[in-house]
Amino acid sequence: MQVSSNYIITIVVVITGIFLIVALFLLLYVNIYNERKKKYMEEKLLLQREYEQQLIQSQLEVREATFSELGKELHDNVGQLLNSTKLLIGITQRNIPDAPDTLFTADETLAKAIQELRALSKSLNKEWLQQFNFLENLQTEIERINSSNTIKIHFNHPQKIPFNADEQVILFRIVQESVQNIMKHAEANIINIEIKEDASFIQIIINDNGLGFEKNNIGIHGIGMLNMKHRTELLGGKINWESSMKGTKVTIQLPIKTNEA
Amino acid sequence: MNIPVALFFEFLCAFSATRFLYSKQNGWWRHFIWFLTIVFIIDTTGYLFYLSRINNHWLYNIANFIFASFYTWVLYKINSTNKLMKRLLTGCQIIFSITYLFESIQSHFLEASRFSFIFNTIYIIIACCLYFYFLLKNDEYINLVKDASFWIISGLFFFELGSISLIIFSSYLVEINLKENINVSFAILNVVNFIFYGCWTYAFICKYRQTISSPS
Repeated sequence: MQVSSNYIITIVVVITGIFLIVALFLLLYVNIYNERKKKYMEEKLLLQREYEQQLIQSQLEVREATFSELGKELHDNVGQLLNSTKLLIGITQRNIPDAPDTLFTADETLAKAIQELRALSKSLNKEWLQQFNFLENLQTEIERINSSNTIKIHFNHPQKIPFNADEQVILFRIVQESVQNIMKHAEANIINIEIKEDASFIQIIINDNGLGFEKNNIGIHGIGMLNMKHRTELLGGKINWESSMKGTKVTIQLPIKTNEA
Repeated sequence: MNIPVALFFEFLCAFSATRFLYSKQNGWWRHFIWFLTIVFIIDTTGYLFYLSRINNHWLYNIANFIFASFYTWVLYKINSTNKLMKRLLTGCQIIFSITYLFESIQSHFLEASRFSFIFNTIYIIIACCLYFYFLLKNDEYINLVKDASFWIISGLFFFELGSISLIIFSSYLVEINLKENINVSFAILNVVNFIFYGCWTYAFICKYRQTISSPS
């Protein structure tokens, strides 16, 4: 049977057309599926972040609870023992006509220890933390450090900061960790803490005139920095370290949550 | 007279390959430059033969083997981390080479080795489909719009699917062309080549952007 040319041409054109349309649909399908995969991965990442935040939150709550318990123990147990000891020294001083100077020195040292213990116990107390004021407590902490005359801290801050008590505790721990790191490792004699506020962000800058550090050479101190990073992330913010031979600058940037959100 | 539009697309593609893939950072991608230059030279020669009424089947029989082998090699390189694809492509290329030699010796290299090329087209289409399958199966998200490999394979997929009917019906189409002077292959190949070289040119641009945005 003779097949007409038109018939062959039609078949070839139709087959080619169908194949090209099939190819186009296949590529469209691949693209749509790939976009869905992207959306799924973004959702997964979001869930993972939320999970990590909850995990950090729980860790911090456990930590605060442990601190609180430790504070109570220090106040009720060790504090009472020290008070009893101070009382006994007082009685001894009165009973001995020519009490040695060392006894008076011991009494003074003990009084200092009791005072420090009360301060420490207070800072670990959960109830106290629930009415926490970041600025007041940081100011007290700075005054305490400045009175030691080993390091001078300058503190520049606005009237108040727009965070609730829990958030202020977290922020206090971040700044406390940073200051402790400087005191332990930086060999600095000046620390500047500055808090700036604009419409959507709070920025806390802590810089010192110490030795600085190399990011590759952090070692175990990295745990403290990691804690600071986790805490900052918990507040939805970012933390950055810039270090040179002239000192270190820590910048913490935190978003201000509006009621509309 | 048939206007060789496909030659224009080939030239543009070869030019863009030279422009965008010249850097040493592009690695094996640089082979597209010489390949597309050869394609352009062969197709120009083939077209001149056609105008001079000289049989160019022997030329395309040899050239198509080189082209088909290059496509297999490109697929192999793109899927170099996939063992299954590598084995499949190596095995198919060996079978294709043997059947091609067998067919070509039988026709004294004067006729197109139709069955070998049908086999080649089929396994390249399967390899392209497998590439898409593994792409979807992969947990990692890839931005396909900017992915050079995806556009290379898409172009190849369109080309092979669009030209398979021309290979299957080649004897009829040659007869129609000789008797009625209707060159269907030429018309279809112009469309298919436009898509094919368009995809490849875009792939080279993606590769270029990727190279300049990544550190050396």
